Amino acid sequence: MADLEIELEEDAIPIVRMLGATLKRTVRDDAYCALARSINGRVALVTSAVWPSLTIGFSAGRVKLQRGIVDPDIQIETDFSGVGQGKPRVTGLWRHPLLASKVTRLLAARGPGWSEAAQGFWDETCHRRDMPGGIRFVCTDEDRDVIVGNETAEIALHGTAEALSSLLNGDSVLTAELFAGRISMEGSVKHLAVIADATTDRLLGETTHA
Amino acid sequence: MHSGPFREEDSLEHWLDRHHVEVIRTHATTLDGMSVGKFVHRRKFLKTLPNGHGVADQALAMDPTGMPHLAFWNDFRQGTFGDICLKPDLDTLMPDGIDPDLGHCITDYVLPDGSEIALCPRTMLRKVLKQIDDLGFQVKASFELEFHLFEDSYADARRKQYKDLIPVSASMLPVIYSLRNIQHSKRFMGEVTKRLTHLGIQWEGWNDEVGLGQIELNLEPTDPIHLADSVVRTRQVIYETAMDLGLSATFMAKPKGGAGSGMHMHHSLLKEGEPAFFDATRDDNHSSTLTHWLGGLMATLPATVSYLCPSINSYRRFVDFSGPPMTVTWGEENKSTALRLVTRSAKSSRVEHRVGAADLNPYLALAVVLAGGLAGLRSELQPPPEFTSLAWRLPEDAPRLPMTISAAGDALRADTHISSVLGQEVVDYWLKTRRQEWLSFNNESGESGRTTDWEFYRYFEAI
Repeated sequence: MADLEIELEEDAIPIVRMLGATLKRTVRDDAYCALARSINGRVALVTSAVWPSLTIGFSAGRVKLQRGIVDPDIQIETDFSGVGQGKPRVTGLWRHPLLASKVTRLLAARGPGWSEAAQGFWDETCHRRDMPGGIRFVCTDEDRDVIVGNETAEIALHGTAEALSSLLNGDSVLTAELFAGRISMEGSVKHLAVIADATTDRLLGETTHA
Repeated sequence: MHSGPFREEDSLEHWLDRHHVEVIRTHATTLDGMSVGKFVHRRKFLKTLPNGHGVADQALAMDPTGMPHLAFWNDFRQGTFGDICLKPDLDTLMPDGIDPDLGHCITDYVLPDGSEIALCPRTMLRKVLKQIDDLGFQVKASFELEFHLFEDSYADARRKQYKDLIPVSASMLPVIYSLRNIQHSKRFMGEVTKRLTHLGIQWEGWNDEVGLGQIELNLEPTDPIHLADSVVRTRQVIYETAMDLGLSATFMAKPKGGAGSGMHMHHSLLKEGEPAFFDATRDDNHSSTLTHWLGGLMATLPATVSYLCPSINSYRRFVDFSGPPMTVTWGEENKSTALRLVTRSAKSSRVEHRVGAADLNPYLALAVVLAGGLAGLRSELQPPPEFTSLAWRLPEDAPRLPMTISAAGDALRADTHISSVLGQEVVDYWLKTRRQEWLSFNNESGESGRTTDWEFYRYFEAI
């Protein structure tokens, strides 16, 4: 993979860290990395929801994310929970059509499907302290399950393919998904907490594994 | 037979009889500094000794809204929401003095078998003190409590969403030490200090502070555990007195514009009963103990901010020229630096730590500051040069204190001295709680230049 430097502002707010983490995962794919490297310009992401706006600057293989709308070439209004879903409203499209096209493609990148993502999640988190020996993911709209780790999984997480995919690709946190009713579980508070912690770390792109 | 607090040589049942105590209110403090406990009949209190009555483990593992900590783990908890216990410290058993049937007792969080929980704030402080004691030193400390008092009752304050409350003050002029302003608080503070005296809490004085309706109450220097117990009891007394008199009080660091509320901590070390910070043979009167202790305090200062300023609201207090320190600095008799040294005489020699916000947990704040000093003693750390100027509105490259809850967390994570004393496990858990606080704020409220509704609902009555 060609080098791509993704830099966050100092003391970044959550949405900046989240988008930074998402971009880092996306550019693990060589094609998306090449796409990101080819972008030059500044893009503001604006949401009508509670999240504040942020600006992504692309320049010669370097990406910088910062809070607020800072001198953007284009402005994309979107719901961050569904970047890539539906049609976002883009301001500046006519002046910077190539930039808009490339950025929209980059931000619309989706992670692998839930069953593939399950193994990736496990590989990345199984060494964490107090993780269960195995996890069973049950996809409620495909009527199938996947077990990672030991066959005698100590916790089962049930959800639609979309909810599981979001969770396992680092786009959501287990506790929030449970409260929202998108995921249900069979298991202990301990394993809920440990997996929730892992999903929070992944959402924010943190590497601490305490 | 004596009146007042329970003493070991007394029979507990006789003491309860003599003071007509039928009900005991147990009292523990969550990581966020909230007071929790139960009203327990004396039969139950006696029956459950020594480990105390049970409570759900979320009594320790919850945020200021009561939400259990579900997104991170510690092994004191059970996998299916089990119980822990509140173990009475009988040295703290006191009659209420006003309610004829009531007694009060401070407790430690313990497991049902009586074994300690490392995350219990009181236990954490006790462990740090033991390590200091092992070096032959004892600590004496005191706090200055600042809070805002409003003419609105708590019910009215809630109806007004905690906004536009009327400060208890003579005028709209924010004048410190005003005898006009203070007169409006006199009835309230008279009742507060009466109740404190009944509870055996030694207070030194109180005064009108800079903010409108802001009061400062100073506690007498004492040992740190007793001091922290006194702080949490005093906060409860202030809340109850305000409630009884149809007023409202808050320990939020910044409930409104103007001056914020801090909680300055004064402390000194003693060796064999003598002041250990003072050395008359040196020009600056600084003993080598003070030099190394100060070296530790300075080396760990950014890391301690996470504990000293625990809430989102704590950081709104940091404004140049408004009183709180902004920089990683120390100075002799300098009230603009983070640490103010007073070394003009052996008796008064002490460090005033000026960073803490009014909503800090006193057990954790003492534990983390003393841990920093202890690390300095152990490693014989040297402090940076004294800062002799005014430490506000300095050039951008001056060493700043962390100014957000997330930056403070980063500073604590980067430090090794604090965790070497407190233990990595408890520091890691604390960091998770602060990250959750930061995420909740950003998820549910978002940045604002002013105190938000989210903060009012979460903090106004909680601490």
